[in-house]
Amino acid sequence: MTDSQFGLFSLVSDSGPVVLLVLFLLLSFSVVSWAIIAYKFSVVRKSRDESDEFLDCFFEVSNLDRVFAESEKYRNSSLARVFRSGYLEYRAAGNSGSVGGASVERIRRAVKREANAESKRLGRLVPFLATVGNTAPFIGLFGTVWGIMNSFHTIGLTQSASLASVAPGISEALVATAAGLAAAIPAVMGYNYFTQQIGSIERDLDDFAGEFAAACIEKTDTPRNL
Amino acid sequence: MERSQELRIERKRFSFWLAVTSGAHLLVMLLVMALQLLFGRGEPAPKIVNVSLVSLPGPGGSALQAPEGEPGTDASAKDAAAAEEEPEREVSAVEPEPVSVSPKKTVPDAAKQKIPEKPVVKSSPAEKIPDRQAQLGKALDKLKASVNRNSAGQGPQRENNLGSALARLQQKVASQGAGASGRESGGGGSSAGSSTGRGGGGTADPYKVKIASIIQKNWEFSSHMLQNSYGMEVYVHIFILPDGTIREITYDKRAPSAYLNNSVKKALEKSSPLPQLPQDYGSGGTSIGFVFTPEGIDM
Repeated sequence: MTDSQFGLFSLVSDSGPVVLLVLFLLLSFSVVSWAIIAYKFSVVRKSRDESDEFLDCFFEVSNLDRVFAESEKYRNSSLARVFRSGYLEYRAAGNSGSVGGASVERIRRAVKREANAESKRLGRLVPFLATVGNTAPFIGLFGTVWGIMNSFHTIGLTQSASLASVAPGISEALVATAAGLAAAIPAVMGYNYFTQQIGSIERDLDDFAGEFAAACIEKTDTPRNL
Repeated sequence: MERSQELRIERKRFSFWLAVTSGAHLLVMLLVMALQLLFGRGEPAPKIVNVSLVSLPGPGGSALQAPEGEPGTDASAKDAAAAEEEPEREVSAVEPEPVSVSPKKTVPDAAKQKIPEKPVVKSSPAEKIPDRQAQLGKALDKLKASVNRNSAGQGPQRENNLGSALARLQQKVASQGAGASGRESGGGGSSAGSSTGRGGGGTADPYKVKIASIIQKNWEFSSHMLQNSYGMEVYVHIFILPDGTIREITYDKRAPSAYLNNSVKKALEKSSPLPQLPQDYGSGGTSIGFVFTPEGIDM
């Protein structure tokens, strides 16, 4: 009597162990998905904003040493990280006195390596969103199928195909599908958003790597600014 | 070194967000629960309409009419059998409303008189009998009015039919009056002492009749839910405390349908507490048995 007052929660509490397990799994997926979405949103937004500011600084200031000093302010910017990595390689080559074609190649490799590391850092945990988006509806469907199987079993036991005996089981079972969709929809939306944002940052990194290598070559040819 | 430190910081940040989202999920669930508690109580319960079809002689041919020319059976017995074949017509007795008047000559009068009596006794408590009399009187007036209206355009045969219907209704009103003067029929039987009704028309304990009526009102059951009606009887004993609380429900015999069994249990639970036990029953409470069938409640 009293449990019927709780509506949705009575459906959950009346469910069988398999459906409960499915619901718990989906709840965990949902919690982790939302945590990833929130965390990645802050990381990607910071990286994008600070990269924009760093690019402005990079093109405004012609002295690489000053750019390096300025880049310390943009710790979350992917472009600033790539720049620091390339600049350190450039300085190392300059200190050893072997600034030439080989050192330029080393700078390029260092920039490339750091760009890859940044791509990995930004893309970390995002595939989990895709996994949740793809699998959660199926997991929910599994719970529903299981619940409906139990419903039919109950029909067999009660020998009554009345709506009163069938409907509660199906209603309980459908909660699992609803939970699966509730977990999957934000995960898919988050995945698409982050894929697009990270792709944009990666393209910026590629462009910047070329620009930076060109600047280093230019500085190597005319080292007066250093 | 720097990378591992960054990773550690990232993990910390992610753990923070994990905790935040866990709390948010918990909050959402609590909010949903609170909303359901707040607004769930305001939802009106679905209204249950009890319909009682009273068979009056009419041109449509009542399902309760006994078949013609069936040898060897009493007319009233035929009618009782026919009434049992139509359990839905007897779910509960509300006010009988005459639908149409056009009796057939072939139906014995005695049979037709008994048709509405069963539901009347089944679920109407003693105090409602005067109301029913008034309602039957009104119905009688309506019939008279309709007879007067239609008499000009109807043939003499139809006039005779209406006249006989009126006569039967008058008899019925008279019999209701007799029933209201302190005698209640037992267990759904006829107040006129019919030999075919359930309970045989004997006197019954008013308290039992009263609680049977309460339980009947709280019994939400439809025989459409049952695939067949074979063996659909639930024998139940309830132990009632002096204050009317039902302390114990014992199934003496269960029906094959869990739906019927559960509906009986729910009806009894919903009916508790019943009216206080009269002092005749003593101070220790009493045990009363009922038989629930798709047709109704027997004692």
